[in-house]
Amino acid sequence: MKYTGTLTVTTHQVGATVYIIENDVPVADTVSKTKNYVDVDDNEIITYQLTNHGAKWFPAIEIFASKSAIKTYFDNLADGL
Amino acid sequence: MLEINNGDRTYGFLYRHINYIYLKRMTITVVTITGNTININFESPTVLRAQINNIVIKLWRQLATIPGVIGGIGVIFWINCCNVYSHQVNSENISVNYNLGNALTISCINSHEATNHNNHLENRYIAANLENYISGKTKSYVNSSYTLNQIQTAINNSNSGDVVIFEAGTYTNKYFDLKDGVDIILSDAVFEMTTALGRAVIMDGSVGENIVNCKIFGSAVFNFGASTGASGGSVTWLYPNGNPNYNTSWLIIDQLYNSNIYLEFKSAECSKTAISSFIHQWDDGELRVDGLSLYSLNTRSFDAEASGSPTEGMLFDNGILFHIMEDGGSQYVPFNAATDEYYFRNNYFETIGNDMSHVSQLFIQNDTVPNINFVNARFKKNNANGAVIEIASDTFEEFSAIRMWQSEFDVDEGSVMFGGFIPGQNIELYGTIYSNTASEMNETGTGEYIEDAGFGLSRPTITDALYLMQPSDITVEDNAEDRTVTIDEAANSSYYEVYRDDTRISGSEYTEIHDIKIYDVDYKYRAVSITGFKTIFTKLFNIQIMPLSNMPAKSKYTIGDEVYYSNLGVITPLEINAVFVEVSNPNNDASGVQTNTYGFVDQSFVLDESKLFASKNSLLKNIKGEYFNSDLTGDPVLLLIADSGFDGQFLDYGGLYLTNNDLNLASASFGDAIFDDTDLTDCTLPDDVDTKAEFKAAVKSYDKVTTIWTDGNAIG
Repeated sequence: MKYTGTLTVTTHQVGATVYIIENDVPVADTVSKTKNYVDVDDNEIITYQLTNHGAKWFPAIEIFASKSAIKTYFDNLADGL
Repeated sequence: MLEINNGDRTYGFLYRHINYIYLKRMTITVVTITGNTININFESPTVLRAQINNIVIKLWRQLATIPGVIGGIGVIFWINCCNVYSHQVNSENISVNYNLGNALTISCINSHEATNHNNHLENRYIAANLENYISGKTKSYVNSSYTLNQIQTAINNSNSGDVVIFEAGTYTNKYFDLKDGVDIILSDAVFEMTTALGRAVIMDGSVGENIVNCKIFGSAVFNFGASTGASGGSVTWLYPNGNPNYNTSWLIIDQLYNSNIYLEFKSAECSKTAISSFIHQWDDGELRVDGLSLYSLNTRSFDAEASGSPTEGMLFDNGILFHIMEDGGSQYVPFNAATDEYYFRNNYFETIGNDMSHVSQLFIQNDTVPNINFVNARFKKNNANGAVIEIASDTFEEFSAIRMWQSEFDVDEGSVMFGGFIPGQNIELYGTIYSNTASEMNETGTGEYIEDAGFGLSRPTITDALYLMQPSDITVEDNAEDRTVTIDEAANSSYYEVYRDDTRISGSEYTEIHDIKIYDVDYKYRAVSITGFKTIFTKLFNIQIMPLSNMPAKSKYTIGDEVYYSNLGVITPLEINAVFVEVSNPNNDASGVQTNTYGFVDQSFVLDESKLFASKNSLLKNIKGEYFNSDLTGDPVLLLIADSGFDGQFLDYGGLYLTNNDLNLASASFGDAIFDDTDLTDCTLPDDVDTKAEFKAAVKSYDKVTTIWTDGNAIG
C-alpha cells in the first residue's frame, strides 16, 4: 500500500555493539538481527538477536547501548523504589 | 612501537620511523625519518638505565653503536641500520645517510677510532639489509640433514663473493671451516653439540693456515652439552698442535690465523664447567661479534691469546649483549696476547658465585699497547674478591687508551679496577660512570665518575629482539563487495604469512587479503624475509563493519490493509492483522537485508511481502509477466483514455501501461485508486497530484518499484 504503517527505526542497529546483563555481569556483544512485530492493535514489539547468543531474541529492555546506559537504568530503578 | 618512559611520561615511536638515537648525559634523543628531534630528559639514572636496556635489547638486531662527541661531551649513538642508505668515514668523522630524513655526522675521538667504528657500522648495516647484500650473489643452501662432508663441500665449492645459507633446523654435532670470501648465513640454525668433538663449530684453520675474510650472519643458537667438556676429541685438526686430544669442543668460533671475520648469532649456552671460552682468538686478525647472550656456569665469553712474540693488528669487537656466568668466571682481555684493539658495545657482564680461581671479570695481561673502549658497558660482580677489571702487573705496559662511555659498576666487594698502573695512566671517561664502590682509576676525559652512587644493577630480562621488520598497522577497506585488508609493506620483508584462527591461510607476496570474514574470527600476520627470518606476529585483529542505520524501512503494507495473493491460481483476498519485519546483514554491506512478513485475519499462515499484491490487476500482471495492454511480443502498447476522462468507478489501474495519457480524474477518485505495476510515463495529472509527494499521499496504493512516475522512473 503506502508504507505508512507503524514501524519504528530500532534503537540498536545490526552491527552495533551493545551490552546485556548475563549472570549479573555486563557482557558486550554485537547485534546480528532486529525484529519489529506489530500486532492487530498496532502495538509494536522490538527484539534483538546477538552474535554470540545464538537464536535467542532479547527484548529491547534488556539491551543497553553502553556501560553508562546500564548504570543509568539501574540508578533510575533504584530511585524509583 | 618503541616506548621510552622518563618517569614523567611515555614517548612512543614507530620502530621504522627511528633513524637514530643518542645518549648525552641524562638525555636520550630520538631522531626520526621526518627530521623530528625529540629530547627526553631523565632525572633518575636507574630509570635511564632501564630505558637504555629497553632500546638496546629490542633493537639490537638492527643497531650499530658508535661513541662520539657533541660539543666536547661524550655521546653514544645507536644507529637504526634498517633506515641507512649509505655511510662513509672521513678523517675522524663518520657520515651516515638515510633513506629518509637528515644525514648524521658523528665526530669520533680520532680518525683511527672513526675507521674502526665505521667497520662496525658496515657489518651492522649489512646485517640489517641482508637481502640487498646477497642479491645477485651465487647462493648455496645446506640443511640439517646434510652430512659434515656435504656442508663443507658446499662451502669449499663456493667462490669468493658467494654465499652459503644454512636453512633453519637443528644441526647436531655439525661444524665447518670457513673459506676466504665466502659469507655464511646461519638463519635460525641451532647447533646442538653433545660430544667432545675436539674442535670449534666454526674455524678458519682446522686444515692448516687459512686466512679468511668473511662474514657470518643470522640468529643461530649454540648449545654445548655437558659431554662437550670431556677430555679428548674425536676430530683431528692440525693447528696449533696437531693434537687429536686437544679439545675445544665448546667453542662457537676458533680464529687461529690472521683472519678478518664478522660473526652475528643469537645466543650460546654451555652446561659444562671448567672449560675455556665460547670464543677464541689466536694470534693476529680481527674478530667482530654481535649477539644476544652467552650463558654458562663459568665459561669465559672470549679468550684472546698470541702465539708467542707480540705482534700488532689484533682486534676484538664485542657486541654481545649479555654475558652471564653463574659460578664466577672471567673474560680474558687478552691473555698473553698482542691485541691492539678492544671494543665492548652494550655488554652486560654478570658473574655470580665464589669461584676463587676467577676473581675478575676482565683480565688484561698485555704485551703491547692496547686500545680499549667500553661503550654502554655494565659490570655486575657478586664474587667476593678481586676487581671488575684487573690489569696484570707482571707484563704490563702502558695502554694506548682505556675509554669508558656511560658505563656502570655494581660490585659486592673488591674494587672496580686494580693492577699495575703506569703512573699517570689515565682512564678517559665520557658520559657518566656510576659505581657503588671505589676505584683506583685515574680519571680524565669530559665525563664524570660517581662513586658510592647507590646504583645497583639487575639483570635485564633477556628477550628476543625485534626482528628487522616490523609488521605495520593494517587498514581494512570495506568496499561492500570484497572486504579487503591491506598490509603496509614491512621493510626487508619478502612475503607475508596470514593466519586466521591460528591456521595459516596465505603465505605469498601479496599484501592484500580478500574476503575477510568478520566478527568471531581472529587474524594475525607476520612478515618474512628472504632469508627466512620471521617477525613477531601482529596483534590479533578482526574485522568490524559499521552498523546499519535507519532500519527498518517502512513496510509496504500495514495492519488492516486488504491484499491479494494467488492461492493455487485463485486470487484470494486477505486482511493483514500482523506485521513481522526482520533486519540482518548476511553480506556485511552498508544496506543490510530487510524481510517483511505478514499475518492475516482468520489465517494461520504468514506470507512474505513478495507474494502479496495491492490489487487483483497487479497480481494478474505479475502472473502474466507483462502489462495488460501488451502486444504479442510482450511490448506494451498505448492505451489512450477517452477525452471524457477516467470513469471514477474504475479504480484498479494495476498492470496498465498508461503512458502519454491525460489522467484528468477528479482528485477524490485517486484516494481509492491503486497504481501498483502502473506505468505513468509522460502522463498528465491533475494539479493537486502532479508531484510524487502529492500523488503518494492521495492514492490508495503505489509501489516504490513497479509504479513508474511521469518521468519514466520508478516512483521510489
